[in-house]
Amino acid sequence: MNRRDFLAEMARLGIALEVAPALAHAAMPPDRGVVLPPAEAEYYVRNPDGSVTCGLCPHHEILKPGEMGRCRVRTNLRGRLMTHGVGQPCVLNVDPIEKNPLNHVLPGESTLSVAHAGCNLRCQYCQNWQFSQECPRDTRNLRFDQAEALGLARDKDIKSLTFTYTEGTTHIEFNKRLAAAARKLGLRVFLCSNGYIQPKPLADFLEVLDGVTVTIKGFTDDFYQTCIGARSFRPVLDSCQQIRKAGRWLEVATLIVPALNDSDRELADIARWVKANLGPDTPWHLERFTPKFKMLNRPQTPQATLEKAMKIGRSAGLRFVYISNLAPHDGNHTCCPRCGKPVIRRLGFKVLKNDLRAGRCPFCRTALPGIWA
Amino acid sequence: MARALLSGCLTLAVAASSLAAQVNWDASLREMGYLFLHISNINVVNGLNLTKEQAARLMALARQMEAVAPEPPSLRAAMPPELDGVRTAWLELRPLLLKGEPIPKELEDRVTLSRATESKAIRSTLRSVPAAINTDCVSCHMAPASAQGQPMSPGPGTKRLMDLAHMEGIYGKRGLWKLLQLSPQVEEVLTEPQRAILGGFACCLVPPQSLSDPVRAGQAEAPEKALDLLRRVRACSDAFWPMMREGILGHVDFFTAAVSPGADAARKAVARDAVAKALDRARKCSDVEFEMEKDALSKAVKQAIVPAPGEGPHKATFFLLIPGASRVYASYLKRLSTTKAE
Repeated sequence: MNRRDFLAEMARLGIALEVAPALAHAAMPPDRGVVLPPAEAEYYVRNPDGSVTCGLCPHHEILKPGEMGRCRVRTNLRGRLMTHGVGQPCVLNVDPIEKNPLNHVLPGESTLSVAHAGCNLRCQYCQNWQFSQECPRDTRNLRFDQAEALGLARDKDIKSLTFTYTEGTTHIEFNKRLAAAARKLGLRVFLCSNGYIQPKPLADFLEVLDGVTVTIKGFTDDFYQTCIGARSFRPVLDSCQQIRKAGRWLEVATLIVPALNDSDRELADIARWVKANLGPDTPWHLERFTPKFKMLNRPQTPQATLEKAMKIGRSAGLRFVYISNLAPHDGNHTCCPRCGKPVIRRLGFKVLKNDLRAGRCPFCRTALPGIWA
Repeated sequence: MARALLSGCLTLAVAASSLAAQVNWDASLREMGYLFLHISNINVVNGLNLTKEQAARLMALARQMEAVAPEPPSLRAAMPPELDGVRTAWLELRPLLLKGEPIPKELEDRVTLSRATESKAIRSTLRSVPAAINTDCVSCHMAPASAQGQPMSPGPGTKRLMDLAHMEGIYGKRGLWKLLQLSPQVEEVLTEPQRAILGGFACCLVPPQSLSDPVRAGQAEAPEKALDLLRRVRACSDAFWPMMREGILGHVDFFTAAVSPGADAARKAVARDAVAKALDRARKCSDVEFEMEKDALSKAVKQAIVPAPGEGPHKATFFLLIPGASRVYASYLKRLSTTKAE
């Protein structure tokens, strides 16, 4: 085939792939799934002047009629706080549970990931900004049938459901119901959260959760104000302590951004706080930053920085420190804190070998904390 | 004046004929084959996240291999015109990969197209039956001038011999013996996760930059492209679907042939049926079903066209010690020391 034939062939393919669907779209309205009307939210107070005070997260927003919250999910409609996109997730995926990250929970198993559009924070480096920084009215949402999804999950031997990719607490009303239904079918339920939530809704959510991963994004108010879009990081720490006190499984994660939150002091502060307040058995995930969203001007986190952070975590007394978004690396493995031997070997999110026997190290019989079965 | 014109024409004719004579088809094929493996070697070295010690040990082993294997091709030999542009694109890619720099979209597209061009050029020269099983490329690939482009369907035994001939073409006989000898040492250098990566590795030119699966290690898995296709298939209206389906299936042959130059009609039919099955299933699924099955369907589409890479006992050594690899390790070590210094 000469160049001309080749180009002609490619052009025909282009027509098949591009023009036909485009013509089909022209003939039909765009498919955005079923758009359900907004439903009334929980956790808010109606004010005499028609405004509402949202009590879901520490932003404590007061919204006048017609105003939308920072989360882009909750709106004051005629004096009532309404939630958009209820029961209309924009992401449904079967993922390895390690992706959340959760390394001490059902290793090697798949989880059903569910996400609705929206988030109450504005991380400048958000990895899922296409969904998290949008209103559910503007994303392509799924025709979601709860019974069908949970039934399929059970048929496919998926053992858990996780609210991840975006902030699951912004759709707390629907997610609580979905979590309760999943647990009735025997699935475990997890949440990957920024931890920026008020104690009361968190307590309610924890009733139907088995575990949570909280991202402690930094350890200074300045970092949270300039890069995250929150006044303080203290509410995140409070949430972590509340989750621990409620007896739910907890892992914490920190995405390390070069020159912003990678100083020895800040990393040591996080590690020391985690050990003192959540316990030395709390897994700490150190995630590699990759330029995304509004932070395209910074380099990827060097491997040496992640390794340094790992040393800091271990020196502070944390027994399970992991390196994420970088593989292959020894920091992906779970090692026995007593004998030091790797007991779960991983390649990124993939479990290569799980040597744990009923949650114990096969070499020295030490029990490792986690939900293993 | 007339004499000068005649002399000019003669000079041009002599130059043209000498240029034509310089194109050695066997050498051209050898050079393109080597370049493909050499770039794959760079990708896998970049993707394995080797430590300084590992890279240094592999570099020493690569030097042992280079001492006995044939010299790598110069990559400057005269090329037939259809392959010249291909080589240029691949050579533009090489320094960027060696430095670990991002690949511009324009170059990535050009490399993707050039791979199809190269595959087509090679396919068009295939003999239906090898003239001989040896390391001469022309035994299976006749010169373009006399080519008829027949599909080749070797039996399993012949296929194995042909694979061996391809390996011997790069490593030479002594190199192959050395490969067997060095294999345990290479395996010993690698960690279990690195061995797992190499087990699933297949040759690739442009590795994806994806956070969704950071372990893809220099491997062009590309299920996103298949997923994108499936989403378009689902979005197509019923009225246009038969036309679109036919259009896609019509091109499965083209892509199958691009990936497997020797694919015969039966192999193409199997690929077409597998893709058709995945497309039809994608259309029938509800939103929930599709989202939960999309990875499996994308893999089905991809594997119908690109067969899963085989696993051999010495595969890691083959990809890590390709002649010329010592320079790749040297470059990697240099980059590693610069990054550490930052």
